[in-house]
Amino acid sequence: MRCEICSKESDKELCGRHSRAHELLKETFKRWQSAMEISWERYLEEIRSNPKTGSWVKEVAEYIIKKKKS
Amino acid sequence: MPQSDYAVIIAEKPDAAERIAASIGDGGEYIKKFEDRLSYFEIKRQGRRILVVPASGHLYTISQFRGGRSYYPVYTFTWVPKFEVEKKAARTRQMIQMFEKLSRDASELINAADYDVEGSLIGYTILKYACHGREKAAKRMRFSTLTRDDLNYAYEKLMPHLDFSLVEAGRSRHEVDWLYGINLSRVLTISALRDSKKYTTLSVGRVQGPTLKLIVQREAEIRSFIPVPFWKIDAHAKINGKDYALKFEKDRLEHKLDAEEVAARCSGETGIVRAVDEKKVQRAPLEPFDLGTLQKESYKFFGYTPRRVLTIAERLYLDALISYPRTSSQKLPPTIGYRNILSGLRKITPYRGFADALLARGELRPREGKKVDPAHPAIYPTGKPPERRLSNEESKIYGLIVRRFLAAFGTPTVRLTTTVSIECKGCRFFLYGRRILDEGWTAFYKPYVESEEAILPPLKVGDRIPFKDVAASMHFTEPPPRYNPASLLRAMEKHNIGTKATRADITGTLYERGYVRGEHMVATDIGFTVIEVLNRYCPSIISVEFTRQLEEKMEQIESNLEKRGNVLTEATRGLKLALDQLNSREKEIGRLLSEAISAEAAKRRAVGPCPECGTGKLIILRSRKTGKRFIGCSNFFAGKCKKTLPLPQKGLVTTTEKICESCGYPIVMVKWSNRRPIRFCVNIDCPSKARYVDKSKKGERREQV
Repeated sequence: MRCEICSKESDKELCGRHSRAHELLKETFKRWQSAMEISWERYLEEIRSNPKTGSWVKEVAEYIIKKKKS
Repeated sequence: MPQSDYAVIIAEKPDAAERIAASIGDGGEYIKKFEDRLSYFEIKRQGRRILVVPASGHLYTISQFRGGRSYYPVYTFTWVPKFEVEKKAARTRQMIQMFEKLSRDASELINAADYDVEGSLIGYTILKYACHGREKAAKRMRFSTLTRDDLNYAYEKLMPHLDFSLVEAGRSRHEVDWLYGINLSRVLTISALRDSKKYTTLSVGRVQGPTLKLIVQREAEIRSFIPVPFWKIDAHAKINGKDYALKFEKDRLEHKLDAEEVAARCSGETGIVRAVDEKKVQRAPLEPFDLGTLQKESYKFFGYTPRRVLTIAERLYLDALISYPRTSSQKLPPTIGYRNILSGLRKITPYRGFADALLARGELRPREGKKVDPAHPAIYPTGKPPERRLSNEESKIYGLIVRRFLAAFGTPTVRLTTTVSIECKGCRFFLYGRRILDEGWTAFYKPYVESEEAILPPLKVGDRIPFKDVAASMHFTEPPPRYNPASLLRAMEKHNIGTKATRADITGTLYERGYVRGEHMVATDIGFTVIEVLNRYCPSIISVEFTRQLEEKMEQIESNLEKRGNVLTEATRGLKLALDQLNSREKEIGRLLSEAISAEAAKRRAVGPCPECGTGKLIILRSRKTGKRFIGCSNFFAGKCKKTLPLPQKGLVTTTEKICESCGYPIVMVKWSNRRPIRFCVNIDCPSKARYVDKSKKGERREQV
């Protein structure tokens, strides 16, 4: 099985790096929610377009958005 | 040929040899002689003949005892002449022959290489292997500058024997580093080669591994970083017709509503001054330069890499303008002769006024830092005016060293800081001011120190301040910064990885191996994989803790508290365990590394997105017919896009990850060995190139006329 984002060998849908980024993405959403009123979708868009976001997290955000659209 | 009673002095480099000869010879006279086209110097001192013979750094190195280069583990080694293992070191053959010949009948042998671990080892190996095993009878010259006074003093007070503790420390460092370097590098290189059948040099060493790990860890933090919003209150007030920025009591607010509420409450209101506090603050001079601090400061002000700074500093040392730069000391002992140095500096126009001011004082006592070095003091100018015109970079580094030295004798700078506390609708704001009362040492260290003032209007308790506008602005938390050569050096120092002499070279090797790229060091796929592999199968090898412990043990050898044999045995034991682990996973390691190498090569070839089809990537390709390189779209192979663009056929093409503002095509950079690199948009029809096209058309017209 390969990571759906980077095609790196993995035993899950996402490789270690992207799984960790996914976890962080979920954890940090709580902090965003406490700071301002924001939905999960808008949060993902914000994260995707923010220049300070790390590339692995951006890839995960993009992956979730695309997956939802399809 | 020289006969009977004469001495041979071993110098580390030809420049140092000439300076030693010119300093200790009677009347400063010396004769330059040649042996197989290599120069050495003959002098007379009190009637006795002395030959000063230069080496060129290390003439001997470690090599495996026997066997080829395609296997591991390797635990047996021997010291051999450098020319036997390094093609570039061919000249060391003649040098060794010169030492053999000139030392044969010498009655006295003296090692006058730089006084540190490397210099001691350079002299020791020459004495042992080239000078017929006379290392035990040899003497040692110890000095920190190449000035006449220091060299004469060092010659008169010769140490009766070599500094064997430094020699042992140097041997163990070289041997341990060689064992780790050769074995770990071979594991990686051979594993990748066996998997892909393609050769790529992969190296990792005792210091290189943990250093790369620091960069990879930082890169992983940056790539996993998620910004979190916070808000700041931006407030301004008009006082006596002038605009002043106010600071809110909290640096950041974590909730949007709280920030908006403060802004709404205070906007357009009037604040009342509740307190005005004034405080005199003293700042002591900066400590004198050790090598690491000089390298960091030079990167900050001039953008020079640590390796470049060391090279420049060594040139200044060889010209006897500064003391020995490979030092970790921040001490300036009185024995260096403060007044003599200042008297010398007053002959150099830019420093005359400063030197005079210090010389007029009764007592001279410099500020010193905590760091010590048993062999050398901090870096200081010798006071000798330059005999030649210094290059721009040399003069910058020299100026920085002189100013830092002068500043160390300066008085503390005194500033008056004012804090005005203003209350507005239950919120507190502050105005900060600072005024310099006494410049102190900063006068000597300009322009390398900030001394800006912020003058406040006269305010007293009860004054009313109209707030101009108060707004809440949204900000985001920042990822940690990437390492640059200077901050990496600082991190290596903090973790005690490597030595002052080798740290700068390690950074260079990481670039050469393709583990990092860019001035702000970005770890590449290969860098990530090397660390992932080592972390998974032998984490101790790249653990900062392990390297620090080994480093401490080797430092203990220098102080005679530890034996070289013990350190070697312990290091080899750890290495064996790691190699067993790696060996049993060779296939998997090979596959991971090959994948990373291919991915990195593909990344290097990818120039940017294809603006023609919008879905493909522009990549650097080579024509099968002509062998010429060009840029083509990755969709060409799927028959979707036929976009091709020309490229220069010479030079190294690298991507810049930037897009042309005029046409949206990628920008690439071409580097040549003998000219400045150029950046250009790959689109030949780019509007930004119109003026060049017009010029060439005019040229065509002229030719037609």
